[in-house]
Amino acid sequence: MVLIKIAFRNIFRHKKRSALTGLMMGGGCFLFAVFIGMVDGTYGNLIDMFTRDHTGHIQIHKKGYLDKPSIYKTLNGPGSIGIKIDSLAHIQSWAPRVYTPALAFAGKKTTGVKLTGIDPPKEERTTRIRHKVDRGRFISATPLNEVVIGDGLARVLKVDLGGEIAFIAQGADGSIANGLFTVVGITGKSEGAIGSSTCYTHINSLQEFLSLGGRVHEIAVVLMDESKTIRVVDLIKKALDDPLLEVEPWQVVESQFYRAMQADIKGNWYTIMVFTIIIAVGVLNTILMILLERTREFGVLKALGTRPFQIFLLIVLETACLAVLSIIIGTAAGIFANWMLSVYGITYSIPIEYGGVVFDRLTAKITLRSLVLPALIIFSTAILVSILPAIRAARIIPVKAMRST
Amino acid sequence: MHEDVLKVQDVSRIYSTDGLKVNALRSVSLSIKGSEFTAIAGPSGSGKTTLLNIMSGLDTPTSGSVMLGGKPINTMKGSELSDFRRDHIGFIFQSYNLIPVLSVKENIEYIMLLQGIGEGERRTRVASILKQVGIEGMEDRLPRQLSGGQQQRVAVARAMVSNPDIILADEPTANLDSATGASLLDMMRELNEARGMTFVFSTHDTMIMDRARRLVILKDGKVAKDEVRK
Ligand SMILES: Nc1ncnc2c1ncn2[C@@H]1O[C@H](COP(=O)(O)OP(=O)(O)OP(=O)(O)O)[C@@H](O)[C@H]1O
Ligand SMILES: [Mg+2]
Repeated sequence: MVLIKIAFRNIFRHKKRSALTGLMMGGGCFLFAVFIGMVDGTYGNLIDMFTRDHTGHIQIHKKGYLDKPSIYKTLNGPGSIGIKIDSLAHIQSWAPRVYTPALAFAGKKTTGVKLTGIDPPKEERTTRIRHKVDRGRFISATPLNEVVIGDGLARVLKVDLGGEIAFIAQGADGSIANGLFTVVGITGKSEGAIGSSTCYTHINSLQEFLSLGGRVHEIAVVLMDESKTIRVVDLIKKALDDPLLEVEPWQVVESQFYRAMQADIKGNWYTIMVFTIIIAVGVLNTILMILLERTREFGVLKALGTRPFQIFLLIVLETACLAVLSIIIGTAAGIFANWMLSVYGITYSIPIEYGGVVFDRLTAKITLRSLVLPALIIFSTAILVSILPAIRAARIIPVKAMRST
Repeated sequence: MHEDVLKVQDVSRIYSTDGLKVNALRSVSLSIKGSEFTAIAGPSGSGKTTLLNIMSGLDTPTSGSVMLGGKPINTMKGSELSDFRRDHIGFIFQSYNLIPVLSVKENIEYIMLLQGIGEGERRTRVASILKQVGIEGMEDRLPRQLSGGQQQRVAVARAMVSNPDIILADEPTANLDSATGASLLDMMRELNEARGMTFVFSTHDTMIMDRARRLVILKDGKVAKDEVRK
């Protein structure tokens, strides 16, 4: 259509102004792409670290355990639950856990701790707890009353590898449980705040210590792909079909972390909104200048028999052409930047602790929405902003327009 | 021998600005027949531009009617008026007013493109009109690469190429030197004779008036004289 030709060529009439307007739109597109790419990349990373470090993607408890943990709220027959889980799609692995608060004594020192019983081979397949051991080794596969403790706890209790810690807790049968455990490993600082009170021991040692029999408090499930979490929660619920069990995604289990993350993401959207408004004002300014400069020309086109709607189209098309050009360049730059960030990342000089997880690298991810959303935002903003000036151009009265030179 | 192409009947135009009323046209009646070559002359402020604008539907009369090809254009609006102008009226402006981003050829094609005329037909028409207005070989230039006289020739070509019923030109030679203006007029007259195209143009210039075959003289918004020459 001849209108597209006119619109397109008009972009190159005021090269500097078009370049500036294009830079705003393209730059905005680039910025949004990197922004969204980093949100997707960094939060994806963060979620991954968070879930694979300890939480898992899905947790199963006895009803009410999450609200008010108690050693009495147990799952019977974790093995049979595990078999049902293993038969489902998207599952990577699962691990049973036993928890209890306990008092720890070493020499003259004493402190409160959270004893966690884990199944070493299963835990290893499910989370990265094993790799957190800095000194010494991980708990052996056979129950030998061994513990792995955090660096912070080791300092509080003044124990080191080979040292012994006595624990006192309340057993499931109401008795006072006490036992002596040997420190075989110490986890590093990278565990953050949790590190100061966590002790890992063999699940069977802890079950015996608490007289729990074969019962556990928690089953953590890890999936091949985090994005399937909500769907798999439903699958597990259906497979277990037990109203006394609670199957919850990590978003519920770690709701505080999840809410903090959501608030952060919302903040990012506000930033995008502010930038969009700035771009809209810039584009509007350019279109109004075009309208002012070319009033006479639009008058002539109308006098020649161009319909009002065609004049309207001319303005919208000119904006659209410039927007598309800018978006192509901005998106290409955005993809490149996201790719660079996804490969090299930015390492923080000071690691940031976020919801108990320490992370020190900013990365991006090239996602579909990091390409499509910025383009859509910029394009629709440009078109929206051009509509009113375009209506004004369509209403130009040729006689008046041609009198004013 | 020819029918009336354009009929202006009892047209008045009153401009009111800041409470001040100007009677630009007072009860003007005028008929233009097919194949006429008419000049509208008169002193500055006599209403020439106002009359041409009303004839073309760019302006509406305060009272009276304008019929083009039997249709009243003073009551048309919006797209209907746009389409009617596009299909029936050719325009030549004092300051050329070519579309600056389109080449000579594309400028001439513009109205045909709006009309949706096919490429083959467009090409033959453009080729023949280029020859007739004497700007062959310049079809790929942009307007700013042409002299004023050449630009006005392109404007004549643009007005003619869609075969309108009438071509209206408000002081087409005012921006040209007298020799260039005279040769433009000669060319227009040739086109009038060769193709029977109806022209109405306004002018101040006696040399230009002399080239008209009918001369209408306006004075204070009224027709003071209307004579057919040789
Ligand atoms: N838009 C307008 N508003 C108010 N008065 C106007 C307007 N247009 C024209 N006039 C007045 O109407 C009268 C006729 O003007 P018009 O432009 O038709 O004259 P003209 O014969 O074309 O003059 P010129 O030879 O200078 O071009 C003049 O007195 C002019 O001042
Ligand atoms: Mg005039």
